[in-house]
Amino acid sequence: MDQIIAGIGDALTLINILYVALGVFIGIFVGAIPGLNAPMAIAIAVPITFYMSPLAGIAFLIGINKGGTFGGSIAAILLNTPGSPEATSTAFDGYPLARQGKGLKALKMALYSSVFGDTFSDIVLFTVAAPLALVALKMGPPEMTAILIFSLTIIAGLAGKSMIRGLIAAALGGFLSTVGLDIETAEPRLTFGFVELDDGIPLLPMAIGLLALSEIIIQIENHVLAKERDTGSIDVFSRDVPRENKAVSGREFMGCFRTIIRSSFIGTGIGALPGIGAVVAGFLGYAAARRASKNPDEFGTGKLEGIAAAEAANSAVTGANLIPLLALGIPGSLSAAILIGAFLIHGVDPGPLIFKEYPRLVYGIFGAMVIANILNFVIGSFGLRFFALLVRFPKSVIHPIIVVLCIAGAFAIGNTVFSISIMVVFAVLGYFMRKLDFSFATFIIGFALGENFEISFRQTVILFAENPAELLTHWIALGFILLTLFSVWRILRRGTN
Amino acid sequence: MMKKPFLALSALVIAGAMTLPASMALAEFPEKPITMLIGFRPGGAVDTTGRLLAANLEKELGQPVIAVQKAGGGGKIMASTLINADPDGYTIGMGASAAYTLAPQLDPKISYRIDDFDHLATVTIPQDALVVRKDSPWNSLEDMVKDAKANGKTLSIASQVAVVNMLALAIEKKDGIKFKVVPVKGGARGIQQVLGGHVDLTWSGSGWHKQVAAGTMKPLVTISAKRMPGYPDLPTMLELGYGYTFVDTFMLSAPKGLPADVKAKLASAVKKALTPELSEQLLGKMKLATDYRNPEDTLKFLHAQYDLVTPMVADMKKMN
Repeated sequence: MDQIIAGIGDALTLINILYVALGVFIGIFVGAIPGLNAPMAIAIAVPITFYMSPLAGIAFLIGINKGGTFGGSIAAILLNTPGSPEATSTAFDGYPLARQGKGLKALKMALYSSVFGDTFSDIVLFTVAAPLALVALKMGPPEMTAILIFSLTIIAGLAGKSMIRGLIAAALGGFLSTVGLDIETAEPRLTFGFVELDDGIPLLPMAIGLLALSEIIIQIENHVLAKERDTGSIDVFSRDVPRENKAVSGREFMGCFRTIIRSSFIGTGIGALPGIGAVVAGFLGYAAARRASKNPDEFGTGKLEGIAAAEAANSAVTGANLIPLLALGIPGSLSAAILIGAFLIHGVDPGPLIFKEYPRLVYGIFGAMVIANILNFVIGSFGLRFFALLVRFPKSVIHPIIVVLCIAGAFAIGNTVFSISIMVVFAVLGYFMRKLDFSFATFIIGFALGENFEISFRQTVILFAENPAELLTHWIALGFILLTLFSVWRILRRGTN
Repeated sequence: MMKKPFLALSALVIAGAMTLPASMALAEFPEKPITMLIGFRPGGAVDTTGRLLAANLEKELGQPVIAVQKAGGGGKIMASTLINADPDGYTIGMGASAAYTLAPQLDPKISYRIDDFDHLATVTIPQDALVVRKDSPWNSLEDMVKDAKANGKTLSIASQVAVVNMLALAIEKKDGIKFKVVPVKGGARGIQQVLGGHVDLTWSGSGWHKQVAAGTMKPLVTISAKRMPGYPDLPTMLELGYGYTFVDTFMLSAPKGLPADVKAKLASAVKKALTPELSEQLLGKMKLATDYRNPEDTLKFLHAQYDLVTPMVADMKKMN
């Protein structure tokens, strides 16, 4: 108990609060800018934390992570170019709302649900990290395979107008996830001699090209072909905009409450399982809300609930990601993996002993996380006004800036020009996918799940090839397979009606 | 924009360097900052070794040493970048020996070989072990082999690198038991599979220390060449007669063709930079043991490691 109070006391020192605030600000900032994102900022900031105390350093990095998850939604809503890959699902309803002049309302909903989801998963982390981590540990190769197969059914909810095209896009994503060294033989597959592809196609430059750059190409094309007047000067603060379009009323928030809770659970669950990630959580939350809704067709046309579903889910991943890290020493995501480095540099090895050896530090970090959530809300609220000004600039100013940032961002990921080439290739692919109405949401899901699916599936085959009947004793896996069959049956039935 | 933290850091570093005694005669190498490419992601064992070493190198050389991440492929991406840099001493690379000795044999299309570099020094080695869950009935490699033989068990081993596949092969060859080699992405995932009871054992370069300290796992054997400082009772595979050792040694290299004086200066600076205090810090924080070799010995070591794995790679390719 003394340690808990001492730890929280450490977190409340002015210098720590300042570091957290700086982290949250950087996070929102890089998150908001297409091409830059939180894992990159964390990777770059880790060496700087050499010079800070362990608590300040880690609190600073966690601040960046938390700010980044909300920040990504800003550009997604205002510019239809997700600032970070996990905000893709936020753009589905966010951008239509912004076009209706309700950008500020959409941003606020994103902020509220993001902070709510994040806080929810932090509370889960503070209270039941250890038991939850043990449950996650029980998820072996067959269980993971079944969960991933079940996750693939969300494709149905995101395929857009044509299920066939959605499936083709997902299959293409899955196919591209096989590029890189074969996990078993370590021989390169489809790398065409580029060592840069040994670890697979990097997700971040791919996402920047597919989501941000291709959207810019489309918008420029519309502008050049004069399909669209430059409507870049919607003033979301102007007196002409009715108050209700600028704020989220209590009733509107409560109307989305069930969705927010559902998404928070989904995000927390995904976060606690190492290796799936916030991108998938956002899509899953969105698809689940759509499935549960009485008016699923309203999703995608500018429904507040869609934003709430996506943001609560993708933000709930951040806290829960620390569950396997702190309880078992196993990182759940890229950001968590980089955080391990920050811990190690300060001589703290995150793992089963951390609560015993460094209780004060752990509770200090928990304290800092609460502060980060509060600051995320405060800085976010002010930041909204600042970022919403962006849409007042004409697109002829914004677009070139975004393009430059995309290029800088892609380069910064690996300090290599190769990433820029990847980004450009996927920008072109994204352009044609948009033109031909192939869903890039399902493409990204196929890509994001493909690699894990392949590994889990091959592990299962290796472990059970001699005695496949043993798989029948894995009831969690069987449960998910049954759930998948049920979902597919429902989707098919709805399709034929 | 993303460069800002770097700028801030370099500014710090430059400021630090300027307060040093002015040992820098102008016309002499180095006249400008040195870039150190790091072949692994931030915060890992190689990265930490590189960055801490860079800080000390700055004091020795009187110029900033700026770390730039070139992570990926177990050091391959860094090596294939380094080979294209100018051999003037201003670009050096922190990587690991497997990228030079094992990778080109696994994938002959790789564009570089050991002798395409001027290797400057070997620096640190991880303290590895083959580990099982604490509640496993085996307390030694012998127990494990006996159990597998007596009960006709096929054991499962989680493998994140080719080194583990070769290790499993070495045991299979000597003892006639069989392994299911379960591929995993990274050492942490291997530990996860063992802790969860999905796989019998795994090999770990560094993540196992904290599990052993926490009493969740126990080590059976190490593939280090010698017994490790922190674990004097843990036997090596060599001692047990398996004829197998592989130490993925962390090392500093430069592109081939450095001027002799530049190479000498860098090599001696690295040796001096690897102070006893730094070694202690690396052992305490990262469980990394210092294993210094000068340029000549480093080259010999790499060739020896290359030749050692050649027959094993051939065996492995037969299996596939």
